[in-house]
Amino acid sequence: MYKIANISSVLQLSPISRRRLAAFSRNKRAKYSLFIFLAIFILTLFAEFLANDKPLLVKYQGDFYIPVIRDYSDLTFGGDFPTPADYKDKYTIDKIEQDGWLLMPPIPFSFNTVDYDLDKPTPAAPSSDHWLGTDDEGRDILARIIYGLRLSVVFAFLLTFVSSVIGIAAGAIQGYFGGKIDIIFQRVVEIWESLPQLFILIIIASIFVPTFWSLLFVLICFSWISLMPMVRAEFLRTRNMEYVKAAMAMGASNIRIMFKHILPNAVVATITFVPFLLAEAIVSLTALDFLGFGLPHEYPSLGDLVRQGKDNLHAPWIGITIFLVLSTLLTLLIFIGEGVRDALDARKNR
Amino acid sequence: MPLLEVKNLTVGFSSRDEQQALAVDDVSFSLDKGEVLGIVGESGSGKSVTALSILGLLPYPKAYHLSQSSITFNGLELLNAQENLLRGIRGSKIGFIFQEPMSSLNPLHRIEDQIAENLMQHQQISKREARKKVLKLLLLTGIQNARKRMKAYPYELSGGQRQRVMIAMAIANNPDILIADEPTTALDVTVQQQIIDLLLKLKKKLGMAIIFISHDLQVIKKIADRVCVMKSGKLIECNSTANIFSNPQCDYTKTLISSHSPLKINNNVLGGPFLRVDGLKVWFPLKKNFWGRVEEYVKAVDGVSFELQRNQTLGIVGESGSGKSTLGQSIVGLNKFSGNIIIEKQGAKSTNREKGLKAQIVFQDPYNALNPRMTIEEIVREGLDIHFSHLSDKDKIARVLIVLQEVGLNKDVLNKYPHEFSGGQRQRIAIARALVLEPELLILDEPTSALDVTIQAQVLKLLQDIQIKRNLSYIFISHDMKAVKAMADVIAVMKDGKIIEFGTSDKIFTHPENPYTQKLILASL
Repeated sequence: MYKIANISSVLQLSPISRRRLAAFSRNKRAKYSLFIFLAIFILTLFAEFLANDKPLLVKYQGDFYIPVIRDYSDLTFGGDFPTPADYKDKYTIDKIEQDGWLLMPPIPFSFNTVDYDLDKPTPAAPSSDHWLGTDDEGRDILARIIYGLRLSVVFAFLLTFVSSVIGIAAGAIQGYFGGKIDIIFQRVVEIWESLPQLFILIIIASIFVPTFWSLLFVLICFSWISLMPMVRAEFLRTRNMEYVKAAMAMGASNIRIMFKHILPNAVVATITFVPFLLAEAIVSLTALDFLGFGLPHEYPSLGDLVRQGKDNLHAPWIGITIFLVLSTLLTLLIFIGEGVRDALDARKNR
Repeated sequence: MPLLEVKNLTVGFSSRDEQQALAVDDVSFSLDKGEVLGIVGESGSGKSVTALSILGLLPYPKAYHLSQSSITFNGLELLNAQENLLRGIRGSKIGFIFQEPMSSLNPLHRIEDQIAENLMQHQQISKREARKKVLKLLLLTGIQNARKRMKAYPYELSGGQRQRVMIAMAIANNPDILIADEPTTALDVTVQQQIIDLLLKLKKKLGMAIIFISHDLQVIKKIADRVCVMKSGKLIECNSTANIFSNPQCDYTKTLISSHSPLKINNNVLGGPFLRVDGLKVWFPLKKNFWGRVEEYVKAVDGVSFELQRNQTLGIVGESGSGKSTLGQSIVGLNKFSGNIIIEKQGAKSTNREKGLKAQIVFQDPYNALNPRMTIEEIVREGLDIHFSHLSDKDKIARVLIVLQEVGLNKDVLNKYPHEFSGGQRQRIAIARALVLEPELLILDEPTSALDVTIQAQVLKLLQDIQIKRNLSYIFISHDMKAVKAMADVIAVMKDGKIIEFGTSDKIFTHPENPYTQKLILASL
């Protein structure tokens, strides 16, 4: 509560926003969900420092090296080949430790590190080496989840942000100008919406190998529509308000009226939906990966883990782990969304 | 025993964060059979809350009463009574008419069904009998074409007709008491008169008592036997209507009676023609044929011509739908029109940007007229940002402060938001926004209709002062003949998009020629 009061005084928020912020922070479930979600997200942003097969810091012959950030060749540490150093190799580790030390991250595997030292068949059950076990290719599940969370959340943020910008712009133009522009635009959107999204994705996936960016692009093509009707309705409503007419009578340009007078009022209605859009984006990426039409194999994706859980029912730690991760993530987002929605609801928040 | 007795009624609203003042504070009054009690007060004085608590319609448990409060109807305690008991009384023994005839009828049901629902709720009758009764009730309310109107949906009716339907619903079960909460406020003057006559006629016929709530003493004067004056939740004066008007005791009652309108200040220094409107037409397409050709129009403004002098005030009067607002908005370029609007020294084809420097508009509803997300400074200086972007911030703020001072607001308001102000203050801010560009013509579109009576007088006075100080021309649009009388030099009476009578204020008020004008003036006195 204290912290939030400080934030609002620093940002010089309007009293309405301040009241909404206070209403949000009164909702304990939403507030803590937001804190937990942010903590998880910020942690995963530093995934390379949490789970990596390269040491964080090496001291060798009096010099410091930072393999997390820079690549060093084997020769640097007294090896024989000009190849990148392999810090999992016993030989390299011995060499370094003869004249210095090395500090490994808490999880000494990256998302694509295959553990060749496993003494069990893959998928291996949880052990002190692999806290959540390995998948069927001998890769550490915890490391894959950390990287996978980052990928999913960043993907969802980008998808939500870009499709909101497009959706708001499209809704604003339709709602503000109305008339013919509105009618034509609406019909185009209806046709566009009726395209079967999944089949198009399958077709595209069978022609190109999808990458992070191409998949993002294709999903944006369909998801921008979700916000548009609301913004359009809000613009239709607000453009008849007397303060908009007063601005017109003053000679304000259309752009000025849209940005200064109508958009701030329309944004409130859209912010409510952002957490739900985020959750939706995570689900659609996971589903596509699960079906095999999403990101290719080399990406650490949550959907790929779901598929492995299904394929390896005899290794329940995969399925249980990914189930817990996904359900926690989505529940947090829904709780945040409910908090935002209630805080912005004028009737509840009087 | 009186029919209804309200004793020490106290209503408060508990809210989560702040301590709120009591909405109704220790109010007592009684109502006898067949009596009309008028309750008068400004908005927020607690008169509607008092009425709602009689029927237990407040948002409990958020609303609460103190323990000594009591409302008895025929000896029956209504406060905190069982919901079952109240349901038997609502709509049956006590009828209620709300202010907004637009929103108190369900838009999805025929009016026949809505009135019949009320009958069948309280009387054991069949649908057919109910239908017969509905027709009788509608005939009683004097609605035209009653048989046909039964099948109508609310949107097909005018405001006055809807209010008649509401009255039919309220009297359906022969109530002992009819509570009318500002039943005429949203209606045109001529219709107001009709509704009041109807209520008086029904009172005689059905022998019911009426509680008539209004902010307008003139309306109360026409109908009430006794008047109670409320202010900030307290009942400050209660007396027979004749006594209240001839011998008011409280200062507040005196201001209410006398504040009605400031007197017209004559400014004879006319500065020559300033605005000429020539054959102005604003037609909105209503029906298009298959090829997109418009076949039918709503003729909102249909061939209007007039001339306005500098320093002169033109009053435009007429009922809602007569096109007076559309005319005003066309002059500042908010509508497409045909015909000519020529402001001095500007061509017929000037843009909104150029017009903005000469003519500005003030709207009716002070709650909609200010953007809730902008501070007062941003609102008032926007005109400067558009037209005088070369000025420095300091100069702009200086000019903003000058106009704010002129409308009676000081420096503290700059960083506040509209919701922190009352209706009257908001209207002052809207006037300041219009003045900041130093226009020569101000269109005032019902600037006082949404305000309390005492505030109305202040705003009218302010407008008069500003006009003299700045040598402005006004176009004053209103349905309130008293306000027009106080402001206008010349008056145009509009009906169905046309000016049906045009003349000096004196002539229109003393010798109205058109029968419609005569009716308007008669209804407003």
